[in-house]
Amino acid sequence: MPFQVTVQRETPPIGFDPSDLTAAKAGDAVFWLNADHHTTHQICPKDGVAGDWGDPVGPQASSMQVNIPTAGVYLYRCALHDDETGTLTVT
Amino acid sequence: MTAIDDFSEDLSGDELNLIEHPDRRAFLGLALTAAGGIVLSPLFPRMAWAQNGASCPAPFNEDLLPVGEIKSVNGFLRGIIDTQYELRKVIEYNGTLAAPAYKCREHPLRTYHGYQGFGELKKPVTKIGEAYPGPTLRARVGETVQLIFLNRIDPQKFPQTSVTSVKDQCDTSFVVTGGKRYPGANETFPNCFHASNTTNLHFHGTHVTPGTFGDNVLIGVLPNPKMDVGAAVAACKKVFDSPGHADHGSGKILQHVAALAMHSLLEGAKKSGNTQLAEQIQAAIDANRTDIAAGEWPQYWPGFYVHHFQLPLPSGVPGKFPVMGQSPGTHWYHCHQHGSTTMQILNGMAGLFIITGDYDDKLLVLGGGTVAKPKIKEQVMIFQLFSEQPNLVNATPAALVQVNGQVVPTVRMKRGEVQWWRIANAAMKAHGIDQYLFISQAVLDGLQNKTIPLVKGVPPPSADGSVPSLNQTAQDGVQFDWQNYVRRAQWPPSATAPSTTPNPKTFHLAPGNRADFLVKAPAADGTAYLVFWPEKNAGGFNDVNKNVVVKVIVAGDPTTENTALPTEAQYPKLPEDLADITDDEINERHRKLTFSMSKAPGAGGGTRVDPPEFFIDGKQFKEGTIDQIMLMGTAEEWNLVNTSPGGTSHPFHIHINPFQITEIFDPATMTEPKVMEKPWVWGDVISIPASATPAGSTTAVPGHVRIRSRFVDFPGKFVLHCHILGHEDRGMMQLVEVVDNHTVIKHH
Repeated sequence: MPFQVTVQRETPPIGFDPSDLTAAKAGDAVFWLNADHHTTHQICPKDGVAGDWGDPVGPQASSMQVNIPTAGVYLYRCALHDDETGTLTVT
Repeated sequence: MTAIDDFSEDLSGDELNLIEHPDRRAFLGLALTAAGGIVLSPLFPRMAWAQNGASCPAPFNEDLLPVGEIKSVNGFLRGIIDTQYELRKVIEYNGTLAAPAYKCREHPLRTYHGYQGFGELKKPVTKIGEAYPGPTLRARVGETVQLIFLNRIDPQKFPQTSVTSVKDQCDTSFVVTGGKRYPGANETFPNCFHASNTTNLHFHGTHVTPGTFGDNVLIGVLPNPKMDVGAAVAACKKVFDSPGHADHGSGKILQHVAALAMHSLLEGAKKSGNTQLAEQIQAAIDANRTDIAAGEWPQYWPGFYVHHFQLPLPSGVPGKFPVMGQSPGTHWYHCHQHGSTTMQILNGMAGLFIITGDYDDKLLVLGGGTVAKPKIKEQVMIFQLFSEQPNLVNATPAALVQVNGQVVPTVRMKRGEVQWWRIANAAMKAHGIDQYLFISQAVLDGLQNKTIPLVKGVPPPSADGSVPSLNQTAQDGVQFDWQNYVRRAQWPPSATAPSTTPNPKTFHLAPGNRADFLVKAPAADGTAYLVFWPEKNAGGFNDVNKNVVVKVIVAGDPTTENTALPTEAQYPKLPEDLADITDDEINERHRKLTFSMSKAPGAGGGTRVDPPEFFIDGKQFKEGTIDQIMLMGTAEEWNLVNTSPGGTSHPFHIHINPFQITEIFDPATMTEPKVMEKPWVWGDVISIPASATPAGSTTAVPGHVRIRSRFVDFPGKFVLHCHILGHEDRGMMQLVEVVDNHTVIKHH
């Protein structure tokens, strides 16, 4: 079952929505959607580096898919904007 | 000059209004929303949230239900197939019989909705909300097909790819534990999963023109969820109502409307500020212009398309080179857009196409029935998997094979009753060929509680008289000759049991195969199960609960039911156009196609993140490059070779013309090729055995199959490919052409 997280900073609320996704289960996929019109984001693990979860996600409704093979708590951030962070709790 | 200007001179007053009046343009419904969508490569913003906790019918506990049909009336098969996003309930097996053995989940899927005729889309013949195939189409040889195909998939519901470029992009996914999952390191556009909301229709098994409004898989129908269906249907109906060749008359009208619609889509994308989507639509418009300028059929269509063809009767002079007709039989249709076929067929985008003829008339009267009131009961089954994505993109729970959308439905028979089963295998299992067999309740129980072991990797035979027997009458929608019916020709020939020894409890299906059987119930009451097993089980298939397909309950004496199998006099005669292709007819016997993989599947099978690449003659599919050219009016013998390691057989399929198999070689089980007995069986999918290293040798020997085919009519371009669609989407496909003159130049 896929889930969606949007990210934006051109209009409030800035950051990820939801910032703490808890409904996902192992085997699901999560899509990050860039809801901004001019700003690029790049989602990556909090302790990782840009590129671990792929290329930057361009503006105007671009998205990216990340699969969740195993349960756990995954912290992530935007590699381009330090104030954008989120948590993915997978059961 | 814009495309609108190009075509406006040929438009009617009403159509011109569509250009000039913005409301009318919107009425035609040809603009996407501001959120955008997918055109040449995927751009999937936003998605819908699927709800879980739904309830599904219990497996093993529901009678087999027929699929809703679109039927021909007065010589015309008229209907609409509407493709849409929908949340559908799918049954999943938990991997153990301990309760709860099954769960029911809603999945966002691309789905077919079928409608009889061209009226309002209010009462589909197909179910909504649960896993279900497309409508069954039913027409007779000689009749005319008039179908309107709509693509109203909402791209916002399928955001399965990142967008790192505006076109020529594979679907992309990563894993949360780090690293790219898809595409594999060596996969490149267009031979990767891509453009998963663009689609088309392939009428698998039809013998019709491959161009224009026939079995044309070289077009792509773009998603257009905001389309005004009434206006689109009205435009499509003009094709049916207008005389003339598609290139000049009726088809040109639709091209004009489509060009307007494409520009409307472009304007919508620009207005929304979605420059990436606008670039993709512009690229599609440019591609169409190039096609039209070159005298080719335009490739991209804005959410609607028409299929308009006759199911031809055989013709030609008796005793001379026959002009093949459409074989009456069990055929099917499915999506065939390169790069998205796997994704869409896993979503359920397939349906049956039953084409009737003299063959049916003979079988329907068995047991004293009439064509209008037969005593023999027909059971029509389409085997499918339902899943959101291929497991290369995201490893999802292994889907169960479902029949008409049901999990292990029950077929009821009387003692000794003979039913007519039509089966189509739309389940794209990764193994190239599966063995299907009837097992008794005792054997099922023993396999479940582990008191009965597998024998050579498959269930052991059940006791005689405990399961139904199979009497095959057709393969791939082409009837058996009486001799093959009598000896149960075992088509396609089994690699592990390659003789024609009758085995009335088992048969084989590769992805894409169909088979017709007269199934005779045992003389005593009891319960049996139809199960499948990979032809070569390397040990990974040992849970029978994943492999049960159909339950059969036999109870009671027959009253009005048919119990008769046909005599030779009652059996349908093989039409002359299906006579064996003789040596004298063969124009070309040196054509050889080699199917290969870059490496063995390896650990992890289809889920590995660095999967093998797939080739024919060392190359991957290249749009516009014609790999094989055949002269119309000739017959050829081909040698299909498979050098793939790891037991990977490849089901070969070619569109438009069926073929006969004359020889097969499986190096894993044979020391020399097996020459098939005449009359040769016809088909359109044959699994080519994998390479193997014979005992005492260190050198792998390829498997092969020899086939013969007549290219008697219908010039034009079409494709051949592996029917493991994950292989086809990722390169194992060729473009071929039948030309109607004698100037042949092979293009590379």
